[in-house]
Amino acid sequence: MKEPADRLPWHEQWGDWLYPLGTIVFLVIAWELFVRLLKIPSYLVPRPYDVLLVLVDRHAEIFAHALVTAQEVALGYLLGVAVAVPCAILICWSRLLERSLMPLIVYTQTFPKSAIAPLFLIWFGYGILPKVVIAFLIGFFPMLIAMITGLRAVEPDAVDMIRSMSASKLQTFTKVRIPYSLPFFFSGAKVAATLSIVGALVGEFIGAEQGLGYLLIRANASLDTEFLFAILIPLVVLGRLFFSFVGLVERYVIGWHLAAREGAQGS
Amino acid sequence: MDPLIDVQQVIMRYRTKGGPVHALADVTLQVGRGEFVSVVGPSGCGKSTLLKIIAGLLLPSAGQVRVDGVRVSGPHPGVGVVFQSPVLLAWRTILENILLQIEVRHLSKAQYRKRALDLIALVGIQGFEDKLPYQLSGGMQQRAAICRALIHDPPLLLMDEPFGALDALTRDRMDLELQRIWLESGKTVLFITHSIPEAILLSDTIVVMSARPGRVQELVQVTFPRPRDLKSLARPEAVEAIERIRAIMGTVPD
Repeated sequence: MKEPADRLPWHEQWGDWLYPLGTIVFLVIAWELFVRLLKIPSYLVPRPYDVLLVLVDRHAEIFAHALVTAQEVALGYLLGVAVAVPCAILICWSRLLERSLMPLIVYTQTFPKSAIAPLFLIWFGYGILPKVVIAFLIGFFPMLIAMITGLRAVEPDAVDMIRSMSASKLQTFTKVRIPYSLPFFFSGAKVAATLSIVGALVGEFIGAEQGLGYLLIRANASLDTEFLFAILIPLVVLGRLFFSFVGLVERYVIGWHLAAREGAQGS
Repeated sequence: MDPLIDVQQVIMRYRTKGGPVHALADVTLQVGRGEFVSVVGPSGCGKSTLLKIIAGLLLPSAGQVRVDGVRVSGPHPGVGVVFQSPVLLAWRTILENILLQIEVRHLSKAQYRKRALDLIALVGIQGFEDKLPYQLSGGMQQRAAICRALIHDPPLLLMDEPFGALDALTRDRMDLELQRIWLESGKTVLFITHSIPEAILLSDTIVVMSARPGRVQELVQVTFPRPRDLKSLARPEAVEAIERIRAIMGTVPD
């Protein structure tokens, strides 16, 4: 049996959840009071309780649109992973590609990708495809850059180590460089997870018939502020779920890295 | 008998953005079979470069290297290399790290498993074969790296300051362990270090190199009997050898 002293007190055990939860409860109450006391009209800032009512009332509609957005994000993101990883490997494989492409890729980092979103609408119409493409484009670059950084960050001794075993170039990639790059890749993949939601929303803002972005624009046009606020909640949930999912995959794929990092901190 | 390593007039120059670097100037060197040879010299004298050339990791600008009579033109089967850091792959267990050598060389892992476990016992880390590298101390990780370098039974072991990153006590212990492993395995060892006492403790011959561009300044034979221990370093001939090497390297303040 465990000694009671070994166990953290309850408020420490659940602290990671409780403290932020307390902050949220405090903010919601403050908001409610603020709106009531200052008599702010609901088309400017609605009361939290009314937002909740709208959310419950129109949940079916919101859920259907959230599914569309989730689909766009998931497709765009997966496409991003599927293209970024091989591209990064290819670029680091060949010195020629690296030298001719890398400066351009770094340069595109500063370019606001959403600026070409209107163009995609012209090319791909009003359906789901242009949103997928924008989500892809916005998520792709951070993943590509992160993966390339990881492939280049490998310890020179580790490459010499496997080369001394008469390894082929393919072996140095599959056995050393690619696994070494994965922790970097996942940090990019997490940034991309939130960015691709932005991408899909931007696409929906510009022109759509479905999706949470479309709902936002519609609510905005009719000054339905309560509804606007209500739509933000599934967006937060979507972002959180998506981020956690990437975290889960990370834990599964590079558990060794996380364990080593925690082990190093613990000792 | 012909030497295991035969380095003939090796010159190494690099071009870098900061200008040309002349790392090695005409190095000629032989290492006999079963010999333990250390290379000492000031930082940047090209000792690591020399080791990489012998391992086939770098090609010299001029001159040639033969290992076991075969001209070195790239990484070759007859060598195991231990680096300054253990460079164990964090996602593989100790055993899998050791068997990496076998995997990459397309040998049968099943066949070498037993040998891997024997080596693990030889270096004294039995019980850790299924652990991940971070669960081992630096000294134990370097022991695993030695196993990895020996698993395919190469005649030649190249060690590039293998204990340089360890604390002084662990380093002393690892030196003695290495001597024991060397006496038991009968390998030829080329050992890079900048610790003169370490070189004297371990070596039959010490190659003293000059500052860049590196060249062989002198060969110092260490003849006193083995197994040596830390007390051997207090013997008059050891003290004398240390003084002599320091004088050659010009590090003795007058």
